[in-house]
Amino acid sequence: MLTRFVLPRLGWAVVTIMLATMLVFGAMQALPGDAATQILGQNATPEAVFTLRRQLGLDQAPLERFITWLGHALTGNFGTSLVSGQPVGPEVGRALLNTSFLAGITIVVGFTLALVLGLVAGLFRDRWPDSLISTVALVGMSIPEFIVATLLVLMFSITIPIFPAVVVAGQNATIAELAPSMPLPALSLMFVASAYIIRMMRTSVIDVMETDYVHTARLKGISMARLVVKHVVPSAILPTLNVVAMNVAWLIGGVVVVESIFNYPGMGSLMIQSVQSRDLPTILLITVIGAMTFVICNLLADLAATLLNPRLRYPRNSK
Amino acid sequence: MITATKEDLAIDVHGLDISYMSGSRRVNVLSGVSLQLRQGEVLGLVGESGSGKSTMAGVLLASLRTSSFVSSGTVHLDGVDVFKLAGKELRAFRAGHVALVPQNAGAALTPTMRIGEQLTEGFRLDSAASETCESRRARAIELLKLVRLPDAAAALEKYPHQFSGGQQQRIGIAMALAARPRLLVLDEPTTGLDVVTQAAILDTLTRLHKELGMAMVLVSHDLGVIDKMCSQVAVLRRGKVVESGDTSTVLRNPSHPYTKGLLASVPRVTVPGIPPSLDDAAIDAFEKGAEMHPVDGALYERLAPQGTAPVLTIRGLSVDYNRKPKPGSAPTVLDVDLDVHAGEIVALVGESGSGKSTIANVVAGLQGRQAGQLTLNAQTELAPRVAHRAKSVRRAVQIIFQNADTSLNPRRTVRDAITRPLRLFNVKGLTAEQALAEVGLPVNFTERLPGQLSGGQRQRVGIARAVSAGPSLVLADEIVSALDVSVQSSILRLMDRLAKENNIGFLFITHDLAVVRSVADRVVVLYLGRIVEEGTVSEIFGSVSHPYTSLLMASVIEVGDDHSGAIAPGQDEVPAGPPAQGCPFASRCPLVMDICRSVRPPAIEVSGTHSIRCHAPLEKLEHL
Repeated sequence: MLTRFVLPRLGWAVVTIMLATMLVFGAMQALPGDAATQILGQNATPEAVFTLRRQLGLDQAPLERFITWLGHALTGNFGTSLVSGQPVGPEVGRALLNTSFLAGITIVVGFTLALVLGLVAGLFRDRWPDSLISTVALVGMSIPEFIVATLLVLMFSITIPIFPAVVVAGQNATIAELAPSMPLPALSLMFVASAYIIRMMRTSVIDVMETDYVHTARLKGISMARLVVKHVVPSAILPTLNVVAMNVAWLIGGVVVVESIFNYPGMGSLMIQSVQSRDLPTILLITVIGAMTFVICNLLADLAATLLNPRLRYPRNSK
Repeated sequence: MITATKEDLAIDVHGLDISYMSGSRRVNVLSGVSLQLRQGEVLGLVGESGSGKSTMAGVLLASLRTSSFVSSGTVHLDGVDVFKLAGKELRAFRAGHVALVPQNAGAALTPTMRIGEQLTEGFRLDSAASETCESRRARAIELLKLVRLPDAAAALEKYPHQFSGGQQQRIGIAMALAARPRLLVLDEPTTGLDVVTQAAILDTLTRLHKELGMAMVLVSHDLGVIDKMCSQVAVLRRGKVVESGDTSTVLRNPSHPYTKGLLASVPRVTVPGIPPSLDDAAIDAFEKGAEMHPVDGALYERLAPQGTAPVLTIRGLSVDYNRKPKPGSAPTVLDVDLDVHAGEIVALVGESGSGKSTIANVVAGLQGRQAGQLTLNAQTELAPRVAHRAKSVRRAVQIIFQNADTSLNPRRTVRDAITRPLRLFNVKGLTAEQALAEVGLPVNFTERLPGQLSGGQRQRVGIARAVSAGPSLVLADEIVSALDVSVQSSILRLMDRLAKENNIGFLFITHDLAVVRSVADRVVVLYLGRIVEEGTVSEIFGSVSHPYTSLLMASVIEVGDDHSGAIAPGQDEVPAGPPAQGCPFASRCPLVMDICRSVRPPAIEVSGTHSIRCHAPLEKLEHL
């Protein structure tokens, strides 16, 4: 299992992360300006820019710089921020922690709710609970998250002012300080990310409800609750796992738009700032973390699918 | 006429109409069905696809398709009106009174639940909550022993996919018995199983009926199975009961032309020749009051071609699905020699897993091989992969699939399907219309889509597609297994005519011995990928055969047999793979000797055309 299943995927994971960093590095080269011009501003003399470039090591050839970065990165040294001069690790780590907290709430509350709603919609296929849930999910898929976020702000911090509209705690805020302003960003994320999970779960439940084994179980005269919990859910949840994994990765990889709207000091906000200041080491570290999350979440989803499926756990002829 | 009171009847269906709406039109799935069955008796519901027999099985559990409804009539079981039940009452009724053995137990067992739990949940409603875990477990083991599942205690911890098809069906029966039902409904309980497994399951059912004494309803398309199992029978056609009564009367002395036609169209292992097909139009006319002409029951006997050249020669074919052979395992197909001559129909017979489809796929170039030589028309070597074969070779070898509905593109017209090979192989002077006429379809079918055709018509299109390119060899993989018997014989006659007139050699793959008897010239019997016997059709069905062939013959159930013989317990247990040495059939053979487990038996020539691979002396292989 380990050698046949996990190891090849880990190999591919390394390739994926390499490709992602190369792409991002290349894209940053293609952008006009670099960290030196961004720090010194429009009125800087060419001499000052040249000196700063030399200090920051930006005068070397791009390929050479990438290889140097890669060599250091492999030893765990991701370099220092070109803007603050501090090592990028702690700064990105703080942002990652904040984002993980936001994502954690969304996953635990939102995704559980989404699976339940998808199940209900599938069980009540084509009746009013299904119509209601499916319509809301469709709306969630169609509206961009910044509109959802704006509407939530309009409703819950302007019309009925119960939550703060934006985070005012600043970059170095602790989780405790951030907690009161968490609900609105979390709600926006839940709304958008849950939509896909609801629809996938609904389709999956409908498929399972039409199988022979559910029909047979029904004719055995068992209760509806037992039918759903024992016969329907274990099979229905399998195809949904991959959608859940993609959404988890999307959340942790930095939800740029929602974090920016609420000024939430997470990975997304940090990425925007770093791109603006052309702070390459920070951007590359965020890229590495984002790519790793995608790879790990998908790997976990595949592993979970294998573990939940008895056909894969117990091959027919091994007794 | 039954004169019992309502409460004494296990089943009392009166004037039942089941309908669904198609637009604003009401379509009847069942119309005016009235049936009665006394306690402890067995009723057979027999009919072809679309007869409403499965709907009738559902009705007895108060279960209908979501869009269907009862438009009139009543269904009483033990005096209870089942369609008046709802919610908890209905659940309790299903849990304690009537149980269903589903058609395909492999799909009807929940794949994510252990067998033990699926069995014990059936106890829940009928027994006291105080019942302990151990006693429930003991009861589950007892049930599995009742249906003769080997190693019952260990089976409780296993998942459905860890069992063979026959074992899954046994579990399905045990699950239905869990609630101690007074009525057991079996929907095609043995369709899709091998003939030996079918015989063993039916023996189990007969025994269970004797021991437990519940009433049973058996739904089947197989008249032989109905004849063996049922005391009463109702023949359904297009949602109506055309004839019902005692099985012996209805099946031995039928009065309705449909029953007569159905019985006449079933091929028999005991009688050579292709039976006549059922005249549907004449029966429709009869139903409307017209005169029915007597059915011509004469069989058509095929003549084997004499001295024609070989179109396919297979020598020493071996196929191994294990890329690196493991110790103790053996190749899936080993050392197969086989010839098909021009105009000849060679039947390749065996149970599921015998490697017959593997051999067809190797010939078609869809499956690789480890050893062996394939020669076409005694001159061209067949490359292992179809991609490496010349166009003329690909044209010469064509295949017809079992399921015509899935092998035709549903969005392509019949014309597209047939003209594709004509264009690909640049065949001049043949139009789609001519190709359709060749297989007996109306020429105006060219613009139809597969969905607008019946099963038999689709299979004809599949045949037209295969033969339009002018092949010398056609691989016919179970081409009649999915068809109703009434259509089956017309397809067999078509195959006979194409072999004769177009000089095509057919490699006909099937598990159905009666079909083999009716159409084949020569027969090759395969067991676990090894040839155990081959010969002309009369030799195979003659007095000397391999013990495996004898077992297959003994397992066939036909109308009019005495049905008293039973398969010895364990005879239906097929090993997972062939043994590394010795005779593949050794584990099931009644004549097994020590030598059988170590030395592969040599081919004994019974005659110039008949050979048997067995260590036992020929006189022991004669039928009793």
